[in-house]
Amino acid sequence: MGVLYMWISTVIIISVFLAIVVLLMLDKVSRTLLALCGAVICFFTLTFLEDQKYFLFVSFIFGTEQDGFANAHSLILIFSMSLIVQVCHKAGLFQFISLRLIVGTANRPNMLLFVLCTITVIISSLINNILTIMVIIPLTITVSGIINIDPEPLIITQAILVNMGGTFFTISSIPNILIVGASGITFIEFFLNVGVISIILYLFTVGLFYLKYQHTLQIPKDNIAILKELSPTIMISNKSLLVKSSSILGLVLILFFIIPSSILPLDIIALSGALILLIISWEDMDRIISEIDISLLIYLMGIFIMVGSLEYTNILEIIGGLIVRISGGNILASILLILWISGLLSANIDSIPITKVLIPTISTITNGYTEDYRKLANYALVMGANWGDNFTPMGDNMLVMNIAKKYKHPVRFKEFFKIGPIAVLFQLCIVTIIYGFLLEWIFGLIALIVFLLGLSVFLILRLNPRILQKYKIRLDIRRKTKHGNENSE
Amino acid sequence: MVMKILNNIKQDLPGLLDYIIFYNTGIVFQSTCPEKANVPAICANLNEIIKIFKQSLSCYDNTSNEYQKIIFETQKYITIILKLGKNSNLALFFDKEVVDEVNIRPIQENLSKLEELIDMDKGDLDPSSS
Repeated sequence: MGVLYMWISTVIIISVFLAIVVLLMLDKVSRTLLALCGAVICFFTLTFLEDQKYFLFVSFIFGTEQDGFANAHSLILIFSMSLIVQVCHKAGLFQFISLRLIVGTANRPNMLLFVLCTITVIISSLINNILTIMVIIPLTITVSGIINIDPEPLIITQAILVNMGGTFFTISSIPNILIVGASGITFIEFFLNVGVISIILYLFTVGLFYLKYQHTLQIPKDNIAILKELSPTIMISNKSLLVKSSSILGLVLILFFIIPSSILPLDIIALSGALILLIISWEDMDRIISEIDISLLIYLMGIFIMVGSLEYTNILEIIGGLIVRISGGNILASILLILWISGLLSANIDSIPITKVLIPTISTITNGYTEDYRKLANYALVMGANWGDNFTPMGDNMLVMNIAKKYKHPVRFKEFFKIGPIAVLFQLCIVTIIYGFLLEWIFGLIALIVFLLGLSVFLILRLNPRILQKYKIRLDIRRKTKHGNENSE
Repeated sequence: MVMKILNNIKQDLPGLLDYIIFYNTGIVFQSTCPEKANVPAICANLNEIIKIFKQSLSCYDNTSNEYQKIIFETQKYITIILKLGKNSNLALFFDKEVVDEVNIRPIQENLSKLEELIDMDKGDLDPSSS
C-alpha cells in the first residue's frame, strides 16, 4: 500500500508541476497564485499520502542545515536588495544617471546606442529586470522622440541586454541568487567567472546590434541641440535621499566584494545596509515595503515548495541521471547540456522554476568530480537561464513590449525575432567554445572553427546584402525557367 | 532654444510663477520650480490626472476626446496643464493674486514652436516610417 501511495504522490506532484509550467507559459493567471496553488496541492499530497510532517515544508521554504539554509539566504537577499533599490529609485538615482549619460552623448551622437546599451546593463546588473525596464524604456522612447529616431531598434536591443546585465553580479537576477545560495559560490568568484565573460560578450553583442541597426539609427544633427537642453538634475526627487541611498548601495556592493560570505553572508550585508538606509533617510518603512515586489517573494516560496516536493520524489535525481546518460558520462557534454537546456527552456518558461529544478541535477551530473567542475556547471546554468529568455519576446521581454505599446511605440514581434534568437545563439556558442577550451581543447578548437565559419557567412551576407539579392534573383530565374519548360511541355 | 521660447512666454504672462515641460513617459524636460519641489512626483501626478480626466470623459462621451488643457484653480494658485505635442505637456503655475483669469491666447504661437522643438515624432514627420 505504501509503495502505491508513493507512486500516486509522485504522479500528482509531477503532473501539478508540469501543469503549473504550462500555465506559466500561457501567462493568463497570476504566477504567484499558480505557485501557491501548486504548493498547497504538494502539501496535501505529501501530508496525506506520505504522512509527512509540517517541518518538511518549512525546510522546503527556508532550506536545511545541510544546505546552509540556502533558500532563506536567497529570500532575505532579494528582500533587502529590493528595499535599497526602492529607496534609490524613489530618490531618482537611476533616472538621473541615465539622463546624465544620455545628455553627455549630445556632442557625440554616434555613441548614443552604446551609451543606452551600457546604461541598460549597468542598471540591470544592480536592480531587477522589471524595474530596469520601467526606468529605461520610457527614457528611451522620450529621447528617441526628442532626436527624432525610431525607438524600436533601441527597445529591442535593451530588452536583450537587460538579461545580459542580469549575469554581471550574484545579485543581478533571481536565478543567480538561487544558484549562488545553493552552491556556495562567492560574490567575487561569480564576478570573475561569469561577470567578466558577460562584460566581454556584452561588447560583442553591442557590436552585433550596431552592425544590424547602424543605418536605422542615423541621428539628425539638428535635433541633438534639443537633447542638450534636457536637465538630468530635475529627475532627482530628493537630493539628500539620493546621496544617502547611492552611498549605501555603493557601500553594500563594495562589502560584497571584500567580505567573504563565510564570514558574513551577502543577505546579512544587504539587510544591514537596507536597515541603515531606512534609519538615516527617515523613510516610512511601511510605505517602502508596500512598494517592493512582495508577490515575487511569495511566488518564490511557492516554487521552493513545489521543487522541494519534486526533489522528495527523486525525479530530479532521475533527470540528472538522464543528462549523464545522454552525455555518455562526459562532463563537458553534461555541462553543455545544462547550458543549452536551461537556455532553451527559459525561452518560454519563467527562468526561476527552471533554475530551481536544474540546481539539484547539477549535484547528480558532477557527482565524483571536483568542486571546480560543479562550479562550472553552475555558471553554465546561470548563463543559460538568464540569456535564454531572449529567444522569444515572452518572459520579461513581454513587459518591454507592453510598456512600448503603452507609450504608443509598439515593438513588432517579427523585428524581435530577427535579432533576439541570433543574439542568444551567438552568446551561448561563445560560452560553449570557452567551456570547450577549458575542459577539452580539441572540442573547443572545432567549435571555434565552426563558429567562425558561421559568423563569416553571416557577416558577408549582412555587410553585402547584394549577394543575398543575387541569390534570390537566380532562384527566381530558375523557378521561372522551370515553370516555363513545364508549360511548354 | 527651448529656454528662449519659455522666457518669451514668461514675459507675456506676468503672473506666471513656474512651469514644467514633461513627457507622458514621466520624463521631465525643463522646469523652473524651486529646488525643494519634487518635480518628478509633480509630473507623475499630473500624468495621472490627465489619464483620470480622459477616463472620466470617456464615461460621459465614449468618442475620441483628445485633451487640450486642464485648469485647476485654488485661492492661491491657478494651474494650467496644456497639451504640447503628441507626447508632451506644459504645466504653468500662476499666482492668483496677480492674475484673476489666465488668457493663454497670446502664447499660442510660442507653444507651437515649443511643440516642434521638444516633441518631434518620426511618425509625425515621416509618414513612410509609420
